Amino acid sequence: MGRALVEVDAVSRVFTSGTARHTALEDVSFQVAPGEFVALLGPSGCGKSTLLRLIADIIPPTSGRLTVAGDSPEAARRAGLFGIVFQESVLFPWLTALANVELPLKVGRPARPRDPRELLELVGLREFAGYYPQQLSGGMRQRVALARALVTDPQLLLMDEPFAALDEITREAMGNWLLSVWGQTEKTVLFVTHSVPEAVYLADRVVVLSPAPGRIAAVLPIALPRPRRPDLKDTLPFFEQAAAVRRHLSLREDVTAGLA
Amino acid sequence: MARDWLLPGGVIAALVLAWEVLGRVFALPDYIVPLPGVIGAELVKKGGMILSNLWVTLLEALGGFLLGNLVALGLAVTSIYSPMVDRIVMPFALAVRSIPVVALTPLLILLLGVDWKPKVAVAALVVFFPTLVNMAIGLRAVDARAFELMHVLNASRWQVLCRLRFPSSVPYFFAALKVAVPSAVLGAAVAEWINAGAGIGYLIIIATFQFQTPLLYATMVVVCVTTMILYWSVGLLERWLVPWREER
Repeated sequence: MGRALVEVDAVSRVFTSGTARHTALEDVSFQVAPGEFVALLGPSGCGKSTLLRLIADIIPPTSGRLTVAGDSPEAARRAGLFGIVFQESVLFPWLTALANVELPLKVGRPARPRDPRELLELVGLREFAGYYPQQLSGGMRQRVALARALVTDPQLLLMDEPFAALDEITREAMGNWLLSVWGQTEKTVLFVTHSVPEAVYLADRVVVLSPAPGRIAAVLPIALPRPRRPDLKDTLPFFEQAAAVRRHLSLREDVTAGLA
Repeated sequence: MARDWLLPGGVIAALVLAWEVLGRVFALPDYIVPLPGVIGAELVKKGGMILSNLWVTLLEALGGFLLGNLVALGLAVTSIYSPMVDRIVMPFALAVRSIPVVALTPLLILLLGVDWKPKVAVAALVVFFPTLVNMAIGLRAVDARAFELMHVLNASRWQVLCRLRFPSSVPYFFAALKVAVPSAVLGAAVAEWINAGAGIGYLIIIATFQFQTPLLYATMVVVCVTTMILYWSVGLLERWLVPWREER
């Protein structure tokens, strides 16, 4: 691997509230190469969203070091290296779809602004530029959110369970569509999910996290051909990869206790 | 929209009719309960005078409305960025607002003199509290992830205030305005009871003490209709400025 874009080195994050301490992440280390699509997979509470926020300089680590493009997350953020998409689209309801995509260009000072209309075209919503978010479906809103994340031409796309709030069918369509958008750019993607098939289908590598406290259980490369086609999900290699990933997901003790 | 008025309008018309009929049947004296017909005649006869007094009160209310809202907005914004201001302002504002307007007015007259100033001040004080409370909530009623987004986008505090907090608080602001607008008019009118040479409150007092009851009722009708029009105008303004209101 050449110089990694993201380096996570022995990072821990502890949340304290009064006397209660919650270790969200403990001694987590891994790297992401430029242009890679990496999935962060784990059940609720395993710290995957926390990890994303540590990389994005939204919260600081309690210990350990994070490096993005050879610099601190803060420097990377200031340089506009990040684009972020959340589970809820977090579009501003008082702005039209186009105005929402334009927002990053008006705030901060992005070095490489892209044309908002071009990006709406890329996400297939050119005719909906003047619509307000409430007039759009959940899937459409997430596409606008993705266009917004891409408008500053970021090197690293951070996605926090972006399709989790959508129905199964829309979710699959969005996954395919995300891959085609990613294929047309050279972005690095960090994709947080709790769905094994989604992680296996989309990613080059899957980082499996185990909960309480959050630790890396395994980092598995996905040996499936690109470009990924939808019928891949019904093939044996896909099932085998998913099974390999699933083996590393530790079930919570309170759930397994009652099983045979 | 017009059909919404059909039922209440019908009810009001029926009540007015009942009033007229019962009033004639029981031959109630004019100076206690005037008949709708008499009130109507008074409105026509003294309409000009009522309206010119209303105008005085409206101006005082407007002044107080602008002043009260500006101060409330300034304090709400400051309380976001200064925890100390936040801790001091709320209880203090509540204390001030808890003093009845009728008691507050003589105090303000002593401080400010006997012209329009105390009336504007009363209207401002009445308007100030609901706006302050609503804006303090509204400016904070933002999804945490929107803040995270602005952080990742390198937004300055000013940009977060203007592009995120203020637009988010607009619905709350209008909720406060709907209360503030009638309150301002009422506050100014009540302030005129203590001392005034003109205004709708002054007119009410004069009509009462001179036993000109039809005039009193006529004035009430005008105040009522004015307040309703103002309230409705705020609603209209809200629908125009807040087109993104979610349809539920």
